[in-house]
Amino acid sequence: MLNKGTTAILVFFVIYGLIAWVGVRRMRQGRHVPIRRLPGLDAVDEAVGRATELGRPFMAVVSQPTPYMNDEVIAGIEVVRYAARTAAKYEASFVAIASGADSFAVLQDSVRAAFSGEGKPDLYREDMVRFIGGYSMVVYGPAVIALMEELKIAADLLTGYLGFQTLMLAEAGASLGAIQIGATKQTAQLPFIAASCDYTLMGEELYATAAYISRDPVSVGFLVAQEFGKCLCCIVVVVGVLLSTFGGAELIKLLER
Amino acid sequence: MRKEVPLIVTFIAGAGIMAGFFLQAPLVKVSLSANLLNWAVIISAFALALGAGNLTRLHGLNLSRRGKNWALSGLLLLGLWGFFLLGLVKGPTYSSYTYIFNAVLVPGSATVMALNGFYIISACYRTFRMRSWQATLMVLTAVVVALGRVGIGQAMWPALGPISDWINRYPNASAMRGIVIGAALGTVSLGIRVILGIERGHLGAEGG
Repeated sequence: MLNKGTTAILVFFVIYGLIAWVGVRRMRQGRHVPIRRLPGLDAVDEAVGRATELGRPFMAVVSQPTPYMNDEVIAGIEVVRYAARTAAKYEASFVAIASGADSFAVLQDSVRAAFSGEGKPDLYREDMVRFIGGYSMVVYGPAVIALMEELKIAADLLTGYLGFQTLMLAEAGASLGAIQIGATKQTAQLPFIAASCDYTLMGEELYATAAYISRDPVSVGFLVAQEFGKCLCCIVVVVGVLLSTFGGAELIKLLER
Repeated sequence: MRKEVPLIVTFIAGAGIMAGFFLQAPLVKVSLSANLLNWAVIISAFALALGAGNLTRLHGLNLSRRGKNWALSGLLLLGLWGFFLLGLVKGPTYSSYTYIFNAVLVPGSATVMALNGFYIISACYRTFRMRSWQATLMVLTAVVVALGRVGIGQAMWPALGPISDWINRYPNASAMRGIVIGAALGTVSLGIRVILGIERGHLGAEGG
C-alpha cells in the first residue's frame, strides 16, 4: 500500500504531528516556553529605525528562482511582512522586490495589508512592491543592485531562495553602508551571508519568525515540535552511528522500508 | 468564502501531493498528484502576466514622463514585449528567437556569474579580520581549503589537498548537515501549518 522507502517517513510525520498537537495544547493551556533571542529578527527594528533616521529606504528582497513559491519564499515573506509593519509604524520608506510572479502577488497584498494594519494605508504606494527579473538570477541580481544604488538604501533584507547573486547583492548593500540582514536555509549561501551581512537568520531560524514575533500558542507549539524533532534526529543519528560502527545495519534497513 | 476557498484548495493540493508521495494507488499518484504539479506550473505561467504588467506600468510611466533613465525603460519594454511577441508569432524554435537568446542572455549570464569571483574577494577582504581565536581559526581554515583546491597549493605542500578534502568531508559536511536537518524540520512544520490552514502567509493579506 505504501511506496517503498516511505514507511519510516510516515512514522516520523505521525510522531511529529502528535508532538505538535501536544505542544499546541500545552501552549493554549498557558504554559510559557522561552524562545532564545534571534538577533536577525531583532535587527529588523534597528534597520528600519536607521532607514527612518537617514530618510533612505529599507529594501526587502525576496528571491524566487523557480516558478512556484517554496517553503523558503513563504517563510521569507513572513519576515518581509514583519519588516513592512515596522516600516509602517515608523513611517519609513519601504521597497520590496520579488523575483517570482507568485511571490510578487503575495508580497503586494502582504505589504498593503501591513500598512493598513498599522493604520497607515495612505502611506502605501503601488511602486513599493516591484517585480524584477523573473526566475533568472543573472537578470535579477544586477537589476536589484542598480536599484539599490539608485535609491541609496539604508538597510536591506535578503531572503527567499537565495542563489549565487546573494553575494553580489550583499556587497552592493555593504558598499552603500546599509545594515544588512540575510535569511536563508541554503547551505551553499550561508557562508556568503555570514561574511557579508550584519545579521543572519540561518536554517531553522527563518521558520521561527511567526512564533518569535507573535508568540501565539499554535506557532510556539509547532516550534516546540521542531525542537523535539531535532532531539529525535540526534538520537537516531547516535544510535545509527553506534550500530554501524559495531557491525549492525538493522537501523538502516528499518529506515529504508 | 473569500478566506475559505483558498484554504480548501491549499488543503486539497497539499494533501493530494503528500498522498501521492506515500501511497501506491495509481489514482492518487498519477491522476491527482501529477496533475496538481502540472497545474501549479501552468498557474505560475499566468502569474507571470501580473509581473509583466507591473514592469510595463512602472517603466511605461517612466518612459512617458521622461523620468530618470527613461531610455533604459524604453529598451526594457522593447526587449520584454518584442521578444515575447517574436516567440508567440514565430515559435520558440525560430532561428532569430534562439539566436537572440544564445547571443544575449547566455553570454550576459556567464558574465554576471564570472563577477562573483571578485565579489568573493571583496567580501573576504572586508570580513576576515583575525580579532579573536575563532576568527583566526576561520581565516587559517579558509586559506588551507582554498590553497588545497588549486594546483599551486598542492605544489607548495602536497598534503594540502588531502587536508582540504578532509575539512570539507568531515567537519564542514557534518555542520552543514546539522543545519539542513534543522531547516528540514522547519520546512515540515511550515508545510503542515500551510496544509492545515494555520499558516496563511501564502494568501497575502489574509495571512497578516
